[in-house]
Amino acid sequence: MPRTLFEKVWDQHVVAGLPDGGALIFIDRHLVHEVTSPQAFDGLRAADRRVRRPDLTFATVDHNVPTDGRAVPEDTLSGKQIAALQRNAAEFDIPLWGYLDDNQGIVHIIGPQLGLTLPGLTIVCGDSHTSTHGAFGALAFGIGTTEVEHVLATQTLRFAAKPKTLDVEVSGNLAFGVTAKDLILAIIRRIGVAGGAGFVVEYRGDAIRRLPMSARMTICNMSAEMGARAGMIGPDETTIEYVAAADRPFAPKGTKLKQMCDAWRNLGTDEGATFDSRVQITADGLQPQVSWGTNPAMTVDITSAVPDPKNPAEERAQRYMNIKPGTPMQEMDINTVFIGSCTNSRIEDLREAAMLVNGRRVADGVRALVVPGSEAVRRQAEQEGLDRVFKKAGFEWHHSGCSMCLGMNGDLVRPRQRCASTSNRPYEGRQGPLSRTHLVSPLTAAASALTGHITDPRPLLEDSA
Amino acid sequence: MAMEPFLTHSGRTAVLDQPNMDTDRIIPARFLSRVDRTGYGEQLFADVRGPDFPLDRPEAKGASVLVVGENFGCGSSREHAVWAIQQAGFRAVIAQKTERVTGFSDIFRQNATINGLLLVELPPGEHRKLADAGSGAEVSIDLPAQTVLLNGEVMRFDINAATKKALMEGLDLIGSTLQHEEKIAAYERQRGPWIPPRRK
Ligand code: SF4
Repeated sequence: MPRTLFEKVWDQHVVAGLPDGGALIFIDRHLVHEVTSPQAFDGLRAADRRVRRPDLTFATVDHNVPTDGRAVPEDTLSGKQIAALQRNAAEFDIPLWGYLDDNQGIVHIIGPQLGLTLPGLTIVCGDSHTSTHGAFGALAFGIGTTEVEHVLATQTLRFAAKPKTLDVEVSGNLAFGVTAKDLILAIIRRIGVAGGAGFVVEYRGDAIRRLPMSARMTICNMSAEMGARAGMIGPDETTIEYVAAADRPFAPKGTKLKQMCDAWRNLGTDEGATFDSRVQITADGLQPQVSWGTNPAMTVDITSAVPDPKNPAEERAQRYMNIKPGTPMQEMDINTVFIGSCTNSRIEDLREAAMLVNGRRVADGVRALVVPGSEAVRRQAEQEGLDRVFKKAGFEWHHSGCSMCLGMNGDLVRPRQRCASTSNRPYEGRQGPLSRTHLVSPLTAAASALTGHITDPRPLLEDSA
Repeated sequence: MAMEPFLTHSGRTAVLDQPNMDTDRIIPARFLSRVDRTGYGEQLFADVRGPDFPLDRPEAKGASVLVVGENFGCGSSREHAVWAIQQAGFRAVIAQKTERVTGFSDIFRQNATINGLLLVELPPGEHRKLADAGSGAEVSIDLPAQTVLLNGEVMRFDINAATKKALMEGLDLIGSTLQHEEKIAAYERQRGPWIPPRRK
């Protein structure tokens, strides 16, 4: 019987059936970070259990590390949390890429970069944006801390039921200046923030096939924002080329790689396989997108205005954001620009933004930050001179981490300030108490930094070209 | 760690009828820097509290059943959201479910179950009755019978059979999984090629 990509990966990982239709699923890679793991390690110790597979477990610090290169203050809660992960990694023999380590970075940026993320694997992490890794055709999803403990102890996860499948088929072409970020925002706008709950999404169609891996990761990353546990894209030659690149120390090489490639080429959804639900969307005519409200589905074309609120939740969002229906999005002044997060901090994102910024200046009164997704991205960008382009224009150039995406490390949007952000969640208070977030692409963030208000990047890009 | 079994619970409600309540709002990120499992009750909804906030009104005092809108607990996977709700005194959360929209987000649901917090989903009509009754209404929840009792009216709810069993028995899930040790070991033996090279 023809099967979907998800069903193939699922079937390959069922260790045992559980009563009432559940399943025990084997986990190939477990990524661990400092914020959602300390209680899990404590649980192991309390029950006198070990980490079953330290060879499949990898740790880094990202959520609350400073990004300005200063030492981690040991006496703070964040410092203690980072120290706890160091102790736990040493005690349980897990590799850890620590603060300022060459391979440190946001966990969803370093997994692919190091070759830990491969097609056909199951990958978990105590973080909802683990969906990012699905861009390779892996089944990757976020888990809570007790589940982190469960995976540490058993290298498996219990599912009460098999997830349903949602086919998102994207046809057409993204126009000049319109990016994968705009596409995924448009998809979320269409499906809604709860529309993906209970589903594993597969993104298919010509428009997806043409995207490079960086863009596919941006798409799968924000599957979490539809409520989906995972997003996937079938592996193809683009995927294989990425995995086979020289600088992926954990990826298979030589004959082993060749054998695996053969398997990966057969992993995609079979002709005639059926999904539980289906959405079709075209990339043709898509405009750059910008969120106006406090959830990612509250999004409009950048060329349009704040819509009339349709319900009490939207009224509340407009009050919180301090915006009025009918105001053109591009008239909205901003104080802060954040280019970073696991959605948009790969080298390709920084190159795009730098291309637009080159030779221009950040508007007066705007604080603009570039926070590379990993130390490797940072080094690469510095080799290419991107750091100089940004710094010359008046941007701050940081070390890697989650930073202002969730404001745990002190990189905060100040109360009532407005931020154009390449991150993924415009929630109330997400970037700091009373912060106001507008989600945009790296191009739109860069353009907005230069003008001081939300700005369509396309006219500026045409001048750069 | 085994959790407290859930069979029946009677208590008063606190009504917070807003859709898409994300876990950042349930507990903001700046409270996640601790390494403990306890002490989060105080920080529940920290940034939206105040005299007008439903949970701070006198009638919601001592409530143990939280009534919320749809898609509750979306966003971040932080289990702290569940810990904060439990440590603020809640044993169950009741959300609205429609054909299109779920009552709770997937990861929140998983985290709740594993901690023994019962999640109940009701269709809009019955959910409305609870919301309209307002904070302080007496309810009785019977998990084996899958019912919520409000003002003499019995409302039935659906729940995944495995989830129900786990809640009723308060299982140590790691312990249960380890009973499959042989199958896990057999699986691992044939999974060889997928193991990455060991390096530090
Ligand atoms: S960058 Fe933001 S969304 Fe991504 S893992 Fe870090 S905090 Fe989570």
